[in-house]
Amino acid sequence: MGRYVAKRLLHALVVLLAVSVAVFLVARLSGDPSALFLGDNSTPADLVRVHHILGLDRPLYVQFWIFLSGALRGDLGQSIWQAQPALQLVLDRLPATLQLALTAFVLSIVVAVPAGVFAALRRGKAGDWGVIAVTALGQSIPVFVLGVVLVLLFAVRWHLLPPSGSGTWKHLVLPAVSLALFSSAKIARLTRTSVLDILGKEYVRTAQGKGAGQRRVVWVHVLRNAALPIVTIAGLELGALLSGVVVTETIFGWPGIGRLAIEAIAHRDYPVIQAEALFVASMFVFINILIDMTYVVLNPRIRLGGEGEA
Amino acid sequence: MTQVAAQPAMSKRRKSLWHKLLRNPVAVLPALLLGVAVILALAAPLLVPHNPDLPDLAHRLLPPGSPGYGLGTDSLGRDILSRVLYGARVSLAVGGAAVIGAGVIGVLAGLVSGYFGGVVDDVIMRIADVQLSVPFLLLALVVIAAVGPSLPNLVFILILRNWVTYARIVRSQVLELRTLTYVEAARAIGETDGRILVKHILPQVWGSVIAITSFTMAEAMIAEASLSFLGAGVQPPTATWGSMLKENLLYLATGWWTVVFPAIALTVVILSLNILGDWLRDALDPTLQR
Repeated sequence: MGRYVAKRLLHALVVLLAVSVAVFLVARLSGDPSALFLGDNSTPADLVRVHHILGLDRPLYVQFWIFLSGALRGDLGQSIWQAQPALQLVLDRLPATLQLALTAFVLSIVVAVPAGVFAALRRGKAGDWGVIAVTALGQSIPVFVLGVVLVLLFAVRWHLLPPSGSGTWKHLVLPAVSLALFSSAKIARLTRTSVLDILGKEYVRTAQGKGAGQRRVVWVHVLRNAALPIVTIAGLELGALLSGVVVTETIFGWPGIGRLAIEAIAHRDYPVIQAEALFVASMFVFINILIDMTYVVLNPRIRLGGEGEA
Repeated sequence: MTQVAAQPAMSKRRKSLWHKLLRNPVAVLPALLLGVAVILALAAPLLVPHNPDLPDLAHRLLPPGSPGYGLGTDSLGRDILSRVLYGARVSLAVGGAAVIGAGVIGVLAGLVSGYFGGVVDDVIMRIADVQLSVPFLLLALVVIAAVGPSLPNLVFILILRNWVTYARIVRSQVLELRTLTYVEAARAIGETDGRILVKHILPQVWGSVIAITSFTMAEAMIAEASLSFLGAGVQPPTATWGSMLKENLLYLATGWWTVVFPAIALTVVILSLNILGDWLRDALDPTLQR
């Protein structure tokens, strides 16, 4: 296990290094940030001076090294738009995003797994078709469409919930639900398939034959074995939720890192964009490692450190 | 993945696919809806009653059913029906261009990666890993902030996003196909790698490629709409379903129709693509998991 973890961490480092190269290059691609510092009646000499201060007159690889060594020390530069360290801005907004994403995550699992099991146990009957129809729709409605429709109904028409903002649990309901729908549809479908898969296996029929009750068969024999794909997809969905917050936070005015990204882009605040991209990529990589470890714990037969899809 | 060994003739399989489609109501309906959407999009210039981009302040926020404005008008007095139809052109064209580009690049990468293995495989798959480790929307926003929002840039980003799906699935199939007897036989009689790939391997992965194209197009259209909704996609006044939602969001309380009709159009097309994709997957490649 130790060697496996070390290998995964090394792999993660390579991925993050590649991400930081990409982020660095894209930011350089985006033109000269000096313009943001210079007034209208600046001279070419001013430009040279700003270039020197920002370090833009040095070779590209030196600039990258400065960027990277700063990043390793947790220094991702100052925000151009707000006089604060870029990373600090991201960290300040993080709790709001985590609150939203985790609520949506818990919501989607609590709804999706029972729905998937329910559908599988009633294969081909009305209940199954109902779940299939709802999940198909759930996977096809874009987050922002659902968000807008929910606002239209629950805030504009019925005045039950606030249309945007944050602070109370009421503010959390609409964004969490719209964020959760896509993931729960996906998890529900996968749960259904996995449970159907396991239900066809011999040991389940043996258990049924031995007279184990339906409830016991499902909870003990089926769900434990169906857990592997469910955990995988759920983990991947957690990552997808972190991505989905950009749209959800914009619609509902939720003060998290998603909206920060939009604001930073609007203000061409490259250090903040870089900090956020790097930070979120690190979280992604970390979550992926966690999923793989859960995998190993749930199924000891999986070959550690093997070739192929690691 | 054992049935791939059968290698049925392509034309026969295509024909039977049509027959299967026509016999299955669950698949016919979405196929029909998509066909109608494409025809409406192509014929939009002939069909629309008004210029979709021309403001007409005398007719602001007319409700649906107003004479001459079947689906009402938006806050600038532009006809919603005309904008939804023109929006179909952009949304479908962007989605289509994205899957064609991603499909060509991804299938090539998957074939090469799976067939030759080694360093090439490592490099291609590591690039895919890196890409998957960055949340797409954020990546897209950063790139667009850098290169500016435009249609070609949008298509480029969607290709960047989606080639990985094709590459991974094609690669995993090629890894198995490569070891089959008839491929080894072809190699033994001295056929070139290129010929083996095109003649013996490509036809076998075709089924999955078609099935994932349906899902991928749905995803690409959602991504386009999301980016346009965030203001980083297609720029005003050009109508797309995503941008219509963005520009009318402020009028939600006073003019629900400005938002609801593009939302319905988008959802119906994506739902159709997903259902069709499910059916294609079952019909063409039962081993493919979503």
